[in-house]
Amino acid sequence: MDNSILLISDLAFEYKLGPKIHFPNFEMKAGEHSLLLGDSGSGKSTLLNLIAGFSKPLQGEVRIQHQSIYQLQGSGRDKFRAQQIGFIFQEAHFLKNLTVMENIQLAQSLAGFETDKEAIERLLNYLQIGDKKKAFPHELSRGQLQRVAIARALINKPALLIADEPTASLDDNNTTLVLNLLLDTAQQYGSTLLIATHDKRVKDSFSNTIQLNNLQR
Amino acid sequence: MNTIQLVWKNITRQLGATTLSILLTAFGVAILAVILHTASSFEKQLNSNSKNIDLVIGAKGSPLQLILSSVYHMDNPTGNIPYAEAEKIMQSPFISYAVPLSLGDNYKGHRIVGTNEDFLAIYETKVAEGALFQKDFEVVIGAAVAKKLSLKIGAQLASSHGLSEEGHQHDSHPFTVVGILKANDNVTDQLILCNLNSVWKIHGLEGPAHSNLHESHEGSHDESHDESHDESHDADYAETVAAHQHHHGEEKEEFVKSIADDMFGKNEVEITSLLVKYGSPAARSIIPKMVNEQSQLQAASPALESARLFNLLGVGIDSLTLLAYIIMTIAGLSVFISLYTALKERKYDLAIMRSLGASQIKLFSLILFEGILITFTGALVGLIFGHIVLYYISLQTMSGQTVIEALAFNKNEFLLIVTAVGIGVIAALLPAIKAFKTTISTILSNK
Repeated sequence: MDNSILLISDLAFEYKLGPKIHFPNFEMKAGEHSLLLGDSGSGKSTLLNLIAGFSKPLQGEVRIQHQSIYQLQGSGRDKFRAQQIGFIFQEAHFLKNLTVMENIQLAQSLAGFETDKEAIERLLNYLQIGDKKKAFPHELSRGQLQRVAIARALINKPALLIADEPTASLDDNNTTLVLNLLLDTAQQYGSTLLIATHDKRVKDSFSNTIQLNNLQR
Repeated sequence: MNTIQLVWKNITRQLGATTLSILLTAFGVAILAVILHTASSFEKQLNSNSKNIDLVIGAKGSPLQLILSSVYHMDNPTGNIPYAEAEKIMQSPFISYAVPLSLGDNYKGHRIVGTNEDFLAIYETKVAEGALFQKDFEVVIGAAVAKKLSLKIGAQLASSHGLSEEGHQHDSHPFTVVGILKANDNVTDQLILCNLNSVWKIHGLEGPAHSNLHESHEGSHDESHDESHDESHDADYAETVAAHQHHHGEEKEEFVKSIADDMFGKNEVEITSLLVKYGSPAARSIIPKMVNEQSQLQAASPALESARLFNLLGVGIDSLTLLAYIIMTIAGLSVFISLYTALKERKYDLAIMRSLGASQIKLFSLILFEGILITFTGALVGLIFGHIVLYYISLQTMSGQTVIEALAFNKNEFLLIVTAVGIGVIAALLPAIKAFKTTISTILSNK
């Protein structure tokens, strides 16, 4: 068995009131870091949603560690996603009534793992927000929130880490900090990283790119 | 971070709405718990106090009042009847036994009842400590009276005229406690029993031959008289009559019907009522007709009047029950509104949970569990509150057994919890279905 983490083949999606789009075939190996590039509205978020199993494709297949995600049904797919995929959204969403620590513990328990406070603390410290573990989301800055989002996405050591425009709402300093931490921690946790962005500040940090412009419609 | 912790975090986030829902549920359940206990206790008391009494014969007036005053000792008597007339009925072959009652005085709110030993048979009780009254001015007291007033064998008590504590005191004729009844959880616990002659004497009248008064209907009671004791009391008759007349002159406004009021006017021995147990099925049609034909007497059936009373109270109970269910329905609506409006704000939370691996069933059960937890907590708070209220009600009755029953869990209360939880499920169902349908991509990607 090879070290394929993500395989996209013949994938197409049809919007309810919009066009049908075909995505390019591509594969990502273990430990690879790739950038998904495309203009706004090019289908970057749609592709990430399809990879994570949030949406259903019109046709085609998404395989993560050789498992076709659409062959899994209901809670089986949910569990697989929780354990194998970490997802960082453009806006960092958290449960408002839970602290940073509790939000990350929730990710562990929903994936069916025992909560591990020490592991969370280590990760938060690595992301330089160890002192914020008891803070509530509304008490943090955007840059801090995005770092908590990285911690939550990586705590279950997923095979694939997906980030959808993770730096879009950050200033230059925070963009550099968050991006570096994202790359470092993904590497440290052995996760394959796929970042969708149209942020030019990010492009220089990646050698592998997947272009989504001019897709067949 | 398990489901319970998560639910707890969510319901405490909107503390105001949650507290309101819990209080509304608690209020409804508390009312229903109190109704449930009091209605069953009331019915039990009604049955316990009247189960061996087929008929009550007394002065004409309200039959319900006659039953209340003579069986449950709750109301003023309708008046008095001549003892001679009562004796004729007592001789009837259709009657198993007939127990005369003579009311008129009280000791610290507890009615003093002139009667004979058959009274104990009617209520299926016996003397637990000491002995039954043998002589005039000897009393046997109920278990609750003994406990509440800390009375022991040999204690002396001066009765007050009338059926309320404020009446004139018969200081010259103290009663002596010679016995204490066993606790029965019925009206006998609250009474003070003596022979008929004591009641007559204390109001300045001498009864007919003592042997008749001490004997039970079957004539089994031992005749024993303490003549010297009686003579000492005889000397006080004139003084007693004067005291009574003085007392009643002062309180003309007060309507307290007592045996003495009538006896002074007619100068003949009377009793308040007669408790009758039929000796044969034929008595059911013969005795009431015979009694009601007499101009001074009326016969009332405890079963009929109790049923009437329960029907009258039933309207109130039904109204209160309806009110409690309306309150619980409002509680359900409150839970629904609280969960449904919170969904709009929580849709991101739910979508995040889905993205982190929570299944649709997990989100559905999470919201459903919130509704259940709120109404279940409300039901528990309501039961605790209801039992506190019942405890304070039972303290007023001063019956030890009632206090214990007020604290005990009634099996029907389990149904109250089930009802409350059912309301919680119904209230949370629609919000739970909406949560179930949460789509991650449309919510989180398009924020």
